[in-house]
Amino acid sequence: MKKRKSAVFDVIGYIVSFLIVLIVVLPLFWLIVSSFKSDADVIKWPPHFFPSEWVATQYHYVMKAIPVLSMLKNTVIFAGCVTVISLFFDSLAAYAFSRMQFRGRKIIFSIILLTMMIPFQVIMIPLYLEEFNLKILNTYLGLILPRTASAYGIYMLTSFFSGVPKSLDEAARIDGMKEFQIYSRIIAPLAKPAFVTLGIYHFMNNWNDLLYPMMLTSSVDMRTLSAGLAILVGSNSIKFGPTLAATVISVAPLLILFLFGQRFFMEGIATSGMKE
Amino acid sequence: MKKNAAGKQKGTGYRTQKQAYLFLAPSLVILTVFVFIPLVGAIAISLMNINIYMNDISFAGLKNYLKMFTDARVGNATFNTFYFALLEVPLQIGLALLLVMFMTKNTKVHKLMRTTFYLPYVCSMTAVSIMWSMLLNKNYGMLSYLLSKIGIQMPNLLTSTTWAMPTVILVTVWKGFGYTLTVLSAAALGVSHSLYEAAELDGAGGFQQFLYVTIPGIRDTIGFCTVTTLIMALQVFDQIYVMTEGGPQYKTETLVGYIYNKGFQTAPFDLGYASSMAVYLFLIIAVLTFIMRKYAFPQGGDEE
Amino acid sequence: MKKKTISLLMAASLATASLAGGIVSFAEESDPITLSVWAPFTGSDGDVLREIIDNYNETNTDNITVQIDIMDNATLQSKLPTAVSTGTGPSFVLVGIEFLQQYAKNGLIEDISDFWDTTGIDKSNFYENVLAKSYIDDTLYGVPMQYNLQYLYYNKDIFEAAGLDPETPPTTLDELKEDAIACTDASKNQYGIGIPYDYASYCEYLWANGGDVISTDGKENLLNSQENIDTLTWLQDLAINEGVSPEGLTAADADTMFQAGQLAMYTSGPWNINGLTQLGVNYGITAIPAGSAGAFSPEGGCSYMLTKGADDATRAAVYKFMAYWLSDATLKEWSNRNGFPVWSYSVLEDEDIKSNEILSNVSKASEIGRDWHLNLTIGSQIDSDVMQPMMEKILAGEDVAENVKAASDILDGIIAAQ
Repeated sequence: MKKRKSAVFDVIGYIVSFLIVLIVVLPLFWLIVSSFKSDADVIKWPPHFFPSEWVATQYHYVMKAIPVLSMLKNTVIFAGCVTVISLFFDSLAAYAFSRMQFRGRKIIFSIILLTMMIPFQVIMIPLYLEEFNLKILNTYLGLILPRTASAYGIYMLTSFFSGVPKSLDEAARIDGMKEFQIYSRIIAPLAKPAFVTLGIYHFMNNWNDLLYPMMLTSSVDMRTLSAGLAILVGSNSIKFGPTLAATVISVAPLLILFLFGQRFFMEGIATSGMKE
Repeated sequence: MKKNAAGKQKGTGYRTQKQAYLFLAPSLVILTVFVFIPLVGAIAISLMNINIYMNDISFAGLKNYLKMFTDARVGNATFNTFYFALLEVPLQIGLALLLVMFMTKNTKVHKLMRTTFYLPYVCSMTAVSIMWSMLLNKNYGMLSYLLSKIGIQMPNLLTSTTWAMPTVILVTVWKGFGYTLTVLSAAALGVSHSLYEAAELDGAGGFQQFLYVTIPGIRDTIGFCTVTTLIMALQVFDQIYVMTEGGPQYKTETLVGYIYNKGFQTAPFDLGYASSMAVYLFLIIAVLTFIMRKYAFPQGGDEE
Repeated sequence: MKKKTISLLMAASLATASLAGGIVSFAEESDPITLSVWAPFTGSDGDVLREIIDNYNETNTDNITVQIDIMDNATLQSKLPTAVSTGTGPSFVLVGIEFLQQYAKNGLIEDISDFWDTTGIDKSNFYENVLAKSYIDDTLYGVPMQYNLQYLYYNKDIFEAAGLDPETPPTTLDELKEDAIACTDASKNQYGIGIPYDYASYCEYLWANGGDVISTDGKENLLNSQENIDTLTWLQDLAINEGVSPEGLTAADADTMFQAGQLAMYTSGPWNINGLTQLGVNYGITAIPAGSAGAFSPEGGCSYMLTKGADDATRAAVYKFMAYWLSDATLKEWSNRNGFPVWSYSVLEDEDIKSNEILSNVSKASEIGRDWHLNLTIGSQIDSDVMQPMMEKILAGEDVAENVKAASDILDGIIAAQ
């Protein structure tokens, strides 16, 4: 009786999950194959899922229209630096919140949370003026610095660190370890999965961001990939073919990175079972 | 935790305090300089008569704030923002939880599925929005063609006053649930196996195990996901900007969309008014977050 | 995470950042000079523009390099004022002439009245109505880059299949209706005419029957008139009862459906010509059909404008580029390849231009241009807050008179507030 019940549960589970897999995969698959259609093929009625003839003209067009490689370089520098520095700063702050006692802890935590609640559209003009006065407008530094601390990251790591048993670091403290050593030798290694999850989160968000890099750069040389590809999506006469190709180009590096890293990523999650 | 904290403070109180501030310093400096100072700037702007050209600036007092009460589009945008958030957040968290329920075992198949569900999250919101606008278009989209083949006439979802918002919500869920699932799975896999075994001995089926073992075990993480997803949802902009531009008939115009429209898209580019609406949105989000953390998920990540 | 790795990475990132510092600065001396220009030419109409600029960079003998930065119009508009006021803006901009007044009023662009004398270009060689759009009173603020009207595009194959003569497109609104009905075959997902619900060029219909939105000085509200109500009722009947337009159509969809051969007719600007020709669609272009009061089409255009604070070297170099644009060869290439109407008398005489069938049709269809409210300071607000919402509701089947009245009330408020 019990066994049958759990078998039924498993079967339902697989059916539901499989359906959702289809809903997730099919559109993405359509996107990728459609980027190899010709202009006429993309808008043909009735529509076909696969190209009637596989062509790479859309990719040629995009590569000609925008300096994809230099934009890719900018994006990697921007997203990469933000991710590394932000993980470091976020985790330091999270360590303080989850492990240390100090006055104003609750208030400071709430204030940090508040920074998540401000839409960028509102602060972009003041931020632009500020970066201008700091003379970091249109530089990598100006792009990276404002993103090197994130309330989301601090919040997430704080809740992860809180789950790490306190007995470990208390023992270390009795052994005379300094706080930074406890952070770097005990807590951080244990929270590796959280670091990976958050790292991917930071990397992708910054990679895909549009308005922020658009506002803070004033030349094509500094533009990131997502912002650069956005120029193909015009209000007058949108060209669907290049749009599809541009979309694939912006997503492909991330997909490849993710698929290569997913083994580590998913295993990381599997070993995160330290919460009691 | 409270007890041993108090005990320790007596011994190393001052030094730990100083160190704690050192740990916090980098983040606090960055957030202060690049978020709070611009925010103060925005609040100052909200009290002035000022447009994007920044000529003829004068002090307006609360004029911009009072104007909101007479502007029907503010009420409409507030409604739409809540409509979006109150449907999107439960759907995203709910779908992620449903899948967590089916995937407690971390087998190879489960891992593969989790990777698959994460894929949409890797794509940018703009890319996802463009893709779905094309697929869902009634006049040349793949979906309407396939449905018409089996005799179903699909409405033009994104230009229908009824369906535009639900469609935007579903696309957002499609993109985001995989991430929530990943975070929740990480927590769920950490729930001790002995608890499941005990539940099984008591004759609990998969659903009951999920309800009585998994959910309480990952309460904090659910709280974290709900609060952060809610904060993001209340600031929804990108997908609406690409898919509907707030239309049809303002039915998908949210607060950030209206702020952007007033400040940057439509003359007279009223920066002061846009900023005052932003402060209003900020207060809404802050109050809601406070309530969520205080009452709905009282043991959130930063418990004392 | 090793401490060392992090500090190394940070050091590296700081170093790269400082290297990348000085991109904003322009050359001070006369010799090699780099000009930056911002333009909202997203989509396919920017292709030819980029090519022409690349060509200029390679061939000009003044050591001038023009760097074009194409961005979404909303982004450009939100960035430009702040950028200009901090001196971090582009050397010049290429934007719709509807922005010229606001820019000039708010000190974003320079007076370039000495342009004709400095460059020695004969201004009488150009259409006066086109040049006039870049003047405020007697002060020149821009050099026209292109001008455009709305045209009626029609698909000759569909006309033929429906038993219509592909060489006689409709010339009146009554004929337009007849032809649209004849070309509609919903079972094939084929429609007679696209009437998008976010339609921006309602003007041509209102004008055709003697109506209008607002007086040209922007002071008198003309919206709530019987002419307008009749015209809009006619349009609503055509779209909904006759079913000649797809349901819930947007302007962008209309472009796509016409390209795919699912629409027999629609009205749009010249920027679609390039794409349609490349796709091999068998189409024709003609003037907007006439109503009881005649045929009119809203005029628009883009101009190059010199941003405030330009030094002499920048000004001189920008003038040179502007002059290059006004040369016969460039204007000819732009019109010939992109289908934009010719507005220079000397180019008009060119044999290639004369023999270009689409272009001569476009030029013929460009004789009915008329100024419209988008050029007013409150123009974009009227469009987005009054007219578009009204058109959306009317084309969704709501009561015409009621919605015109409601829109007119909002318009009163906007006029009073300016």
